[in-house]
Amino acid sequence: MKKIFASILTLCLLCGTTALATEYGSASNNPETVLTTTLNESYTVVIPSTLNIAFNATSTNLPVQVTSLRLLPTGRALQVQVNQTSLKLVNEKNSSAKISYNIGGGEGTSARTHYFTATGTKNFNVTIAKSEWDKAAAGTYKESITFTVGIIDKNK
Amino acid sequence: MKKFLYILLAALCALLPTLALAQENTTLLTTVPDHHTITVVCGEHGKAVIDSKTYSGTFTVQAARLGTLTIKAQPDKGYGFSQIKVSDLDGVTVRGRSVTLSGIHCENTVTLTFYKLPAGNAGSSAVNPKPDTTPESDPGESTSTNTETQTESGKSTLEDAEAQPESSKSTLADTVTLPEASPTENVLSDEYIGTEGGLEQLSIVFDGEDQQQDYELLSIKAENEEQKNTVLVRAYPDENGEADQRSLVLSTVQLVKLVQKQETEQLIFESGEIAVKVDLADLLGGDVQKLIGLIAKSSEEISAETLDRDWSLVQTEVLTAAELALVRTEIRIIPVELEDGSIAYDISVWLHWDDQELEISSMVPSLRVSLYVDDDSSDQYVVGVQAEDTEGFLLLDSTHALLQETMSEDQPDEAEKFIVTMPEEEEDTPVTAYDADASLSKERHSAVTAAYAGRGLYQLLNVE
Repeated sequence: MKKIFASILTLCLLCGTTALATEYGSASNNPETVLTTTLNESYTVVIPSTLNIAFNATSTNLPVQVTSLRLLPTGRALQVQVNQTSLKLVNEKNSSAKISYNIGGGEGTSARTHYFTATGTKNFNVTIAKSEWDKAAAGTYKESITFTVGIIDKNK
Repeated sequence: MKKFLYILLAALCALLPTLALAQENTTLLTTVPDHHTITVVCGEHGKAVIDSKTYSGTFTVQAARLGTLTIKAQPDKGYGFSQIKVSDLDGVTVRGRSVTLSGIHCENTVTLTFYKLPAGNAGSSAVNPKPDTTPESDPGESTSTNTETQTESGKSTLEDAEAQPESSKSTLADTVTLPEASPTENVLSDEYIGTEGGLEQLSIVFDGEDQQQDYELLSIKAENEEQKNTVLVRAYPDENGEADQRSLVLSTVQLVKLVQKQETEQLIFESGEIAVKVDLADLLGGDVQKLIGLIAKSSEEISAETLDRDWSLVQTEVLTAAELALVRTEIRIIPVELEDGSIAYDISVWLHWDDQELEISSMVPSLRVSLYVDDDSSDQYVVGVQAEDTEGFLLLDSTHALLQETMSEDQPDEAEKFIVTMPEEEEDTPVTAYDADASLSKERHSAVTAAYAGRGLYQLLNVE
């Protein structure tokens, strides 16, 4: 019995390791790949680890690429959602200097979610108003935004 | 040991569901430069002075981000400073011959142009600081009474005008030949309102004491048939921020040039929170055209009673540019503080000639009054008018104009924009800061618009 229990737990653990995020590198855009696999559903999502926004650009695409996707047949979808963002780029040398931005281009009222039922690329938009650029002090600005990626049942 | 291993495995299994929802981060990164290149193109017959250094021709300077750069235009003897053309007007101010770029936030190209002062003015202070909209045209050259020329060009004569349907009747803009004005190296003068009167002719906005005022002018070209080619003139409030009377005064020749050269159809005069719109066809055609003919040609005394006559019996005179130059049109906006402290506006349109003036508001059917409201307001407003000697406001039919955009989103995004600064010293003339493709995004207002309903005080009324 103990052996059976240990085998079951070990099997679970082996399956579970595939659910851990795995990172890949690329010389072009430093993509960061999240590979998540559950028992019968799997996906591979590529999101850039860094998005360089050109000075004075009022709209910049933030691509989300799904390179592989296997879903159960009914009502399932891969959800990629932007969350945990202050919507302020902060000056590295002067934290009181900020540039307000917005993220959109997705679905739903907040436009910050994309759903995938097949492989492909969808873009979020990072927008910065001209008036924000015009008043921004010199320097490098950064902000980290967080994505939540997972398979959901769209019927629920 | 085995127990410990089981517990560890069980704990890892318990964590598995949370790992199915993965979280990843992306770093947004941007760099704002600490300097911007300002290219200065100094035209012929003048120099540019920056920090006591004198430059000529084309050169560049590096300006600190959000800093200030002052360029002093230094015309050669016999020449005047006419215009600064920039690729971005934001933060550009002109005081006399000094151009200041403040809050510098982008690369910019600044072109300074100089013009030859009229004979007798070279290097002197011959410019009359008082507005003079009378062009010095040669009546012999500017006449449009040559019937043969009109016929050849398809322009209407009096007989033609009567034979035409109402909708296609000509206006003065169709029948007057403008004199060729000497170039002043100033786009506003050369392409819009200059009619041989020199740069001082750019003085078109005045206060209640006929003092010339700085202003902005936007030329917005229609993109479809439903829109109108529009010239918007924006007056500024007093230096203390208070609204005062502002008048837009253009000679009839200047109006004709706007139509002929720019195909302008609509004029908007904005002062603070109010804008007055009028079609140029009304100011140059119909009964107003006949009235201008009477003023220019007839020896009879013109008064308010003149307006009561049967205009269908009055002939449409063929006029010369020189005759038209004698008659000026004024759109007048006077803010009036009411007992409750709110502001209402007295709106009127006038003709001026010699030392006389005559109100013609009732002869301008296209006259519209627009009062601005907050873009975010969800309240309902109408335009109300309080006639003289009456109490309370008459609510005007502005139902379909609620929150109507003065310049709606479907209009063009860019326009030619001029900021005209009046001279501080007698020897100078107005200077124009010019942007050929200025963004209109900041110019749009939500406004409530109503047709003019006679002389009175116009106010925005909340009818919630």
